[in-house]
Amino acid sequence: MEWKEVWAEAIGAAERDVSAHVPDAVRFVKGIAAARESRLLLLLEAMADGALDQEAIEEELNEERAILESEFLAVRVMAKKAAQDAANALIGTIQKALVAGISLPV
Amino acid sequence: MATALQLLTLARKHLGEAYVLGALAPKANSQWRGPWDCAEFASWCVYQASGQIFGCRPLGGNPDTVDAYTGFWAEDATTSGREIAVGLAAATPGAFLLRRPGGAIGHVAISAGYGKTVEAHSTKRGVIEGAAAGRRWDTGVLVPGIEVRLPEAPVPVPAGGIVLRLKEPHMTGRLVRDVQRALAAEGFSAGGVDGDFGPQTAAAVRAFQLRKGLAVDGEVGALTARALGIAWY
Repeated sequence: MEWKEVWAEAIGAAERDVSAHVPDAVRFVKGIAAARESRLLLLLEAMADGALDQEAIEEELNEERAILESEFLAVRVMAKKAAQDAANALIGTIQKALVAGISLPV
Repeated sequence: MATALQLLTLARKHLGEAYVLGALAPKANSQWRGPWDCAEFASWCVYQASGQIFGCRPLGGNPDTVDAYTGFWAEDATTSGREIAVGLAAATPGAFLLRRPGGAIGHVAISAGYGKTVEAHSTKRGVIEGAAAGRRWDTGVLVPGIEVRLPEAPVPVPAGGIVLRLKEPHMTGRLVRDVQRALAAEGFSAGGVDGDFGPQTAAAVRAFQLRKGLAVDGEVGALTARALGIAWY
């Protein structure tokens, strides 16, 4: 096999592995947002009813922002797995080609 | 190093045992059967499973006399432990879910994964298998000496509604006045009905929760509000 073909295949394998994890990450981010939605709505209702002062509501919203950021960071774990899979796929493709025999570019 | 399964198996042997706020559990006594409070239960389980003292003071003290507290859990989480996202902790058996005390009383629970917990909950419920959803958590914690396997997909933990609590600046508004009025009607003075959730209101809430057998954290969420007879958000 030509090196260029092997390399293109290796890159393709890595891309496929990263792409395979994207739907999970998107689903997770949506899940986190959905899990906080009811609380955000309740905060807005409380504000509309004058149940809490404006400053208290804004503090709560700031806290929600921090919670969302912290929870979204969990995507890192998924990204790490995706990175590992992609690296394995890329090197694995080259290793297979090595066994089969590669023609290196001159 | 203990596994999460060993930790949870140990914790579940104590389901149904009594909760007493401020109870001290001798960490080296494997025969201890309560009473517990949340931090004592979590620290006792960690010590029994792994031989590690976590969330206790004084540092380097005798395991039978060191005091466990959610504030110490919060400190140790940033030093010898590791903080992780709540959703990740809720999906990780053997991780812990922590609500920092923030000047009052916090809470700590062992995550059983899938959003479930094992925890010393309250006077009324004792040690229970519970759920992370609908409650306020500040962070997840990984404890040294407890081997966990982080899941590929975290579990989003549904949030509860509004939680009035002691924070800076103080929470203010009509809802706080409603709580103060209801507390006064139950015989717990919050130092007046001024609509400002300060230390006196938090103390009155804790006293009310203790009387009712609720989880004593000085915070007013849906459960405490219901016990006070207040419609909630």
